[in-house]
Amino acid sequence: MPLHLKIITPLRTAVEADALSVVITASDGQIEVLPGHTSLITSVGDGELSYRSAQGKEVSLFVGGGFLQVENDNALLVTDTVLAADEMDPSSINAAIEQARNRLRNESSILSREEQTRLEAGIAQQLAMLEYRLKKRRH
Amino acid sequence: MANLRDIKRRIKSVRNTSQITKAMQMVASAKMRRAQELALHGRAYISALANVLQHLSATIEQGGASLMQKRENGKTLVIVVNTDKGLCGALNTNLLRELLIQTPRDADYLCIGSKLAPVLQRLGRNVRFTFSVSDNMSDVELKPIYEIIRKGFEDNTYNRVIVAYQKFVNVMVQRPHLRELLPVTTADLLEIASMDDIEDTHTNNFLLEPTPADLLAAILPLYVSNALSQLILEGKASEQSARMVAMKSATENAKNLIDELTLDYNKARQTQITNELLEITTATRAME
Repeated sequence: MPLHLKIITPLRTAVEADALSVVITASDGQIEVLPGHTSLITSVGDGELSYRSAQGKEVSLFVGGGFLQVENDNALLVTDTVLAADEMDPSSINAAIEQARNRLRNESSILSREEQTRLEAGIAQQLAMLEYRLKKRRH
Repeated sequence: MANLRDIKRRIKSVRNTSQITKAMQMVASAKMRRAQELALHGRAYISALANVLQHLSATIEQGGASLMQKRENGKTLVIVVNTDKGLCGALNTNLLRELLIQTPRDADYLCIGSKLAPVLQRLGRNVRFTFSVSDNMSDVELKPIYEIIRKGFEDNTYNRVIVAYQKFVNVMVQRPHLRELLPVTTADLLEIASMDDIEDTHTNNFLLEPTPADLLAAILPLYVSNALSQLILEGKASEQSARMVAMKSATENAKNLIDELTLDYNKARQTQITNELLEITTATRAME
């Protein structure tokens, strides 16, 4: 019996599919979830998620940080961002990074600590996106 | 007859009003579609979060996270999700009625939307904060609100945080509803998790990575802030639906009024013509 993979973001249910295996970057490094996996809840970092669909097709996506729950062959990923490589626009990503860096540099005195952490996390995510995109294009 | 001109003037003014309400109806229905979409998708997200969280809370005893602790001392903070603009039917009035029945007199109020704040103040309730949130609300706008809630709860100023909002049922029906946001309880989580069709078998032996405490510390604030934004989204969807329905019925009323007035106008015109004819005939008769 295949895994039932569901990826939910605040804006949409991005993926709902049967998968033979799911590979994702978890807190302790990359893990692969196969059917029959033990029940698991883990935090997930920015990075690549790839799964092999029931028809044997490889699908690769960029996912933002979030949580993965595996229970009785149901894999549920709750995250804030899901993007396919061709949905990314490097120039707007670069612009966003630049903007966030500028804010960090120029307004560091008025930004609260939390705001700074948030901006830094944003930059990290955008950088991860760029990295993922580069990797995909090389293939 | 002077009446004729009066009626004409009234028809014109009613027609102007109906054009405005018609335009507002269009705007509201466009906004409604978007707000509705956001609200419905957000429900899936929040119930997925609740689903994960509820599994965690079974593993970790309640004392673990401060946002889940029950407190003895402190007041109630009521977050009132109302609207910034009027002309949306009885939406705010219904919410107010529910508020007055269900919240304690000495509670503090935080208004999101500016319509109900002065009303609550006049009724002697303690309105501490008022915020406005734009239609495409962003995390940046919610941040200060969330911070107030979290700080107030953590330093024991408040022992309960309740959100009062209009639950979006469908375009015609919105229901005033109070939901307890803090402390987060397992029963609430179960209820929200069951909103979506995620299968749940109540397994408790989860492998938790990196550690249960780390996971809970990361996911709980995320859950609370998203639960708040979800309720605001619901409020927005309700607002736009209510406004659309109210404006639609206003436009229809105006149309009926115009029909009636036009009938009156034609009658008056007919009478006038008849009178003029009568005068002419009488005059000719008199000259013969």
